Amino acid sequence: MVDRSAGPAGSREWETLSRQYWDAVQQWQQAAASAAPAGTQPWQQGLGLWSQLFGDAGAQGALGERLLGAVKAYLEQTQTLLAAGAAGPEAIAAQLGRFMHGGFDATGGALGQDGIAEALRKLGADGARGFEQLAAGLAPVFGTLSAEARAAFDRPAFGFLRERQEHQQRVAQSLIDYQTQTRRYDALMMRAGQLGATRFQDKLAERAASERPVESLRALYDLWVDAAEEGYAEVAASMEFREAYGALVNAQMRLRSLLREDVERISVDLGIPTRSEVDSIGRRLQELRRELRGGADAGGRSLAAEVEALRAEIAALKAGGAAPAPARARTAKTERPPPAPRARAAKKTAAPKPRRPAKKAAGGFEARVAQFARTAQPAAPRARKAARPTDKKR
Amino acid sequence: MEPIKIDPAKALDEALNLQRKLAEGFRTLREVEDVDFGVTDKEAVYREDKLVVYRFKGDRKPTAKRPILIVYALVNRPYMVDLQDDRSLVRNLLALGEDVYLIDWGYPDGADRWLNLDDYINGYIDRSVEAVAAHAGVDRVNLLGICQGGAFSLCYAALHPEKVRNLITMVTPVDFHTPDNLLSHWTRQLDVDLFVDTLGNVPADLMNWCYLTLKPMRLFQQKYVGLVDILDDKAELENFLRMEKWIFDSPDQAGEAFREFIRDFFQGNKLLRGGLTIGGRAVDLRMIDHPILNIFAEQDHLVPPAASRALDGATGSEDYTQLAFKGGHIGIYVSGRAQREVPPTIHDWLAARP
Repeated sequence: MVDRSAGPAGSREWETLSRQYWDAVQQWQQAAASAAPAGTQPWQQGLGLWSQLFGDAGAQGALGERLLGAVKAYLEQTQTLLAAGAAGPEAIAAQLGRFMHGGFDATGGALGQDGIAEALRKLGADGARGFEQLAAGLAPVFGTLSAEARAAFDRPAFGFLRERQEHQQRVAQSLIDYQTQTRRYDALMMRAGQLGATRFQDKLAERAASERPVESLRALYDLWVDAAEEGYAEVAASMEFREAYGALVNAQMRLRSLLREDVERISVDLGIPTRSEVDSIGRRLQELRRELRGGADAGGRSLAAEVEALRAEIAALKAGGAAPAPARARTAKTERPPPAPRARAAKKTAAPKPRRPAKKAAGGFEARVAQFARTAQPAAPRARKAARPTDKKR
Repeated sequence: MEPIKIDPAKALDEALNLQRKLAEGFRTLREVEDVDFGVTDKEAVYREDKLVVYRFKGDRKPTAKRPILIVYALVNRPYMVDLQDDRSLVRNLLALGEDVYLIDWGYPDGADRWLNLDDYINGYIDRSVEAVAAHAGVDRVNLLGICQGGAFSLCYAALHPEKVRNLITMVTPVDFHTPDNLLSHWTRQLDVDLFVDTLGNVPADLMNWCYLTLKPMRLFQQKYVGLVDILDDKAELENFLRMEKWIFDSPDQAGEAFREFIRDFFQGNKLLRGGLTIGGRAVDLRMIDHPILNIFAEQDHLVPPAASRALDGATGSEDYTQLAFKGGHIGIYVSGRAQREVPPTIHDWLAARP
């Protein structure tokens, strides 16, 4: 049984075991590489050399790093939880709070110094990280501004640089708003950590009551993850979180948008194309594509309808009957059958198609029909399919 | 009784075992090259911009007369349905005699910034359906929509009912406002106009980050701690890597389509409540009178089962069937249970509706 009264690190028994562990780890590592750090180390520090080795793990080096980050955190956390379990509920809450605030890396990669609260703010991935650095650099300046200085942002601007001054005021106000929303969000993350700690205590109490003690490091870790997830989920599903999350994202977007305006203004001065201009071109291009596509579809439908009418006219003429109304009298809209039936209708209504008469009529009326059919081909694939057999038959 | 009773010797064993696994994992990782996916042979039958429609080739000719067109979500790559030999919805459907086509949306870039839902649904999907119908020589196709692709398929079937014979939806959100839908919850206060106007296309990293933070402790850390257990098993490690690659192989989202999807689906819940228009045409689920097979996952944390169940009674169909699968959003494609249950269910259901 572990002597947890003094904590694992302070226990002679644990020290002995730790030395045994370290000796064994060194043996494995020395088998894999010639250089290994010497001396007695905390358990998780034995991962240091693995980190170097996994960096050379071929195509899967990145996964190796991610794996080691997680394992290192796992060992740290289980050791700390063991100590905290002995020290009492406050220590558990502090550990969970630290994890919520400092357990994750924004990219989902190796666990780093950034906390989840910090990482969640990095909403724009690579582009946002540059922005985060900028915001962090400005934070000390704006964070220490007096109320009077902040009030200056609301004062009316005037003179030749009025617009520029107003813009700078908006940037400053947006940055302050962003920082306010960030603090609000951080507070919720801390609350999630506290809730997780409470859940963890509940789960431990439940284990004690049901005489099912936690008997392994992994089981302890898994129980703690369950508790932390429950605490986080409770906060994340709240209305307060929904509002804070939306406000944080919106604040960041406003600030990014204003900063982009600055960059664009400078770009215009230097004659460099801006993002807004590229967007404008892209938008017009897409609208043009839609118009062209719509026009082609409508044109194809119109031609197909006209071809169909002409076929009917030919059939009527060949049968010696009265010709139906001229094709042009029909509109694409009223004559347009749905595409699937259209293919069938085209086949069904096609006139008797002996090849010889068609040749005789070359350059005449039927040739015009064939011409229409070919022109109609750019329409939808099924329309093409409907037109082709008719062409062959002629 | 003490709640923690860890024997120091056992703890040492655990830690030593972990180090041993890492030592073996170091060797295994060096042996594993970049994993491959998309195991079934296929041919491209239609291309437009970045979109490609593929037809999969089975070991034998399909016996089904009518093809299945799979419409996948925009937010991940579609090879999840054909991940590896023993985990492939496509391969299993082919083995049962189905004729399977799939839309691969590609990776949108700045040129696709202004693609909207009209372009996707009345444009790309419609022309893909026509291409498949022409290629297979049929007038109507069976549509199989997955996740967001399922929502698109519902819209398409409502707008173009004459081109669809049967409709299958998998893990498809229909009611976006169920209480357990965290993604929807988080987006409700989002100023999506400001968001898209600022970012343009929505970065894939941002989308992935959002999904991971649904269960941050499990997905950022515990998953990799668990990986240690299989580090000495090359085949298992490759399976893990294949899944990992799929999870993080995400396309950016075309800005306008994202704006409309968030505004009308996540925030407005218009697919179910009504009032949705795409390309100037009203989308009314009651226009869908096709047979519907709705498959959802009971442990889905991305699309809660209640969000999918809402399809029951929301359409004009009198032939509605649903399958509640015991698994999660990903397990419904790749788990052993999924291989046994899902493809036969689809095949048998379609066979009864030629």
